[in-house]
Amino acid sequence: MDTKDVKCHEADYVEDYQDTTDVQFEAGEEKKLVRKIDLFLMPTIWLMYLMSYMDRTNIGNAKIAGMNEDLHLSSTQYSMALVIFAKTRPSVFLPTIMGPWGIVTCCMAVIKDYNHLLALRFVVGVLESGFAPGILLIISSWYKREEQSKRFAVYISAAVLSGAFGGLLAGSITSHLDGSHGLEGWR
Amino acid sequence: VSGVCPPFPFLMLIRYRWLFIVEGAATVGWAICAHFLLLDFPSQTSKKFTERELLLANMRLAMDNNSPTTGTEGVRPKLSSVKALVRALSNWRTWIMVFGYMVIVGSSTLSYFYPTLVQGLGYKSTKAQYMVIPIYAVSFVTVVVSGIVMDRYHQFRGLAIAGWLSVSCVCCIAVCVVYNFTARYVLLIFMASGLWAANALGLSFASSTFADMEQETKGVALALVNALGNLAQIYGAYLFPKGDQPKYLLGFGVIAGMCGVGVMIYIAAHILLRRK
Repeated sequence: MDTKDVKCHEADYVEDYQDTTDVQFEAGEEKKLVRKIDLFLMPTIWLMYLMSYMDRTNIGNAKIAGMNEDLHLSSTQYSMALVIFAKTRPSVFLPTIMGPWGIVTCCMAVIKDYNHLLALRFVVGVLESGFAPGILLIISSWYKREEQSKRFAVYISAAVLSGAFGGLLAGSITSHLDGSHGLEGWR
Repeated sequence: VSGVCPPFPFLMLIRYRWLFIVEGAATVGWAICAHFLLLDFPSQTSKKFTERELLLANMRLAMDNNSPTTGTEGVRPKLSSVKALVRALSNWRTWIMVFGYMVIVGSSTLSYFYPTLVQGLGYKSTKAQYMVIPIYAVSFVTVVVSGIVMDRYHQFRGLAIAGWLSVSCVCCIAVCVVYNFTARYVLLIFMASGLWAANALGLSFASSTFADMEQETKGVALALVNALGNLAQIYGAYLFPKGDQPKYLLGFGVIAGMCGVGVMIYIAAHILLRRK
């Protein structure tokens, strides 16, 4: 971008900025800034999304379709409450829901009853449901229109990769356990 | 069903235990890192950027008609939650993106059934699980390439999504009439790749369509797209009942139909939003 572009634009707030600042930007500066934003956001978001998707795949969604229904419904209601998200700091909000969901995931390890496992999975699901809309808004707020497809592609690629990883995991698990029983096998 | 009998289910339990602990611990650990790495919104102060950088960040977005400056003192007053909700709900652009994304995510429930569908190839269940991996690998490449290309031609995102959904739609129809295992597997790969690519583009199309909304309104509109998209997954769980083996005409038929509807929605979106 060069300074010419800035000047010929007519949006009010640009003029606001123009009035209050005499800052001139050089051509390479924007590119450098975008790279910096990428560096902070992309790996962080990518890993977060990978983790949120991983336990979805490793329990095996298709086998617990009934719970799925509850989860999606509650996640919808919860997402509506996310109006507040736009007013909080993402660096506080997202880790605050992610921490507890990690702890609950750990708790699954000591559970002996299948129904308790489902209950915990439900809690994780509710916590996770605040995650996606938050990420969408962050990407949407930092990048220009013509920069967004690449960033959303990175985001979705985490889901795709965790699917592949889930397949690998499921393959190695079923090779040790009768595949048709799935989780019921350890009930 | 693989021929290997479980040594004892108890061993299984131990395996899962480790999985949960490793996963949970990694999640907590990364949550802590994320607190320090994540950026807040451009309108908020940040120690990671100089004042000059933040100014540039806000300015380049303002030029793009994005509105990150909402909420900053002196620029525009904050919008109340109710007002933001009403504005998002009453904007037709929100709904066209919601319906479009619902179609994509609804069709993507297909991914839960990859192992089941791949079993039709004649692989035993263990092998079937591994045979799912190439589907994801091809999808991964498709998503990334399509994202890079469509930033270059960003004004044609709607048409690109329509294109990907057409690919998935045609593959779905073909799968209903072709019963050669290998051919079905290849069709399944194309189908999945098209849907994943459409998913990523659907988000970026929605996000850039909402670019000129106030920050609060945009937040609600994006949450709506995400939430209602998730809702569309509910009926998806019933698309491939065991009784439909091995052709699964119902499931593929419904997905083909949904993709067809999606093609129309996104072509309409392209036409309606073209002037913007």
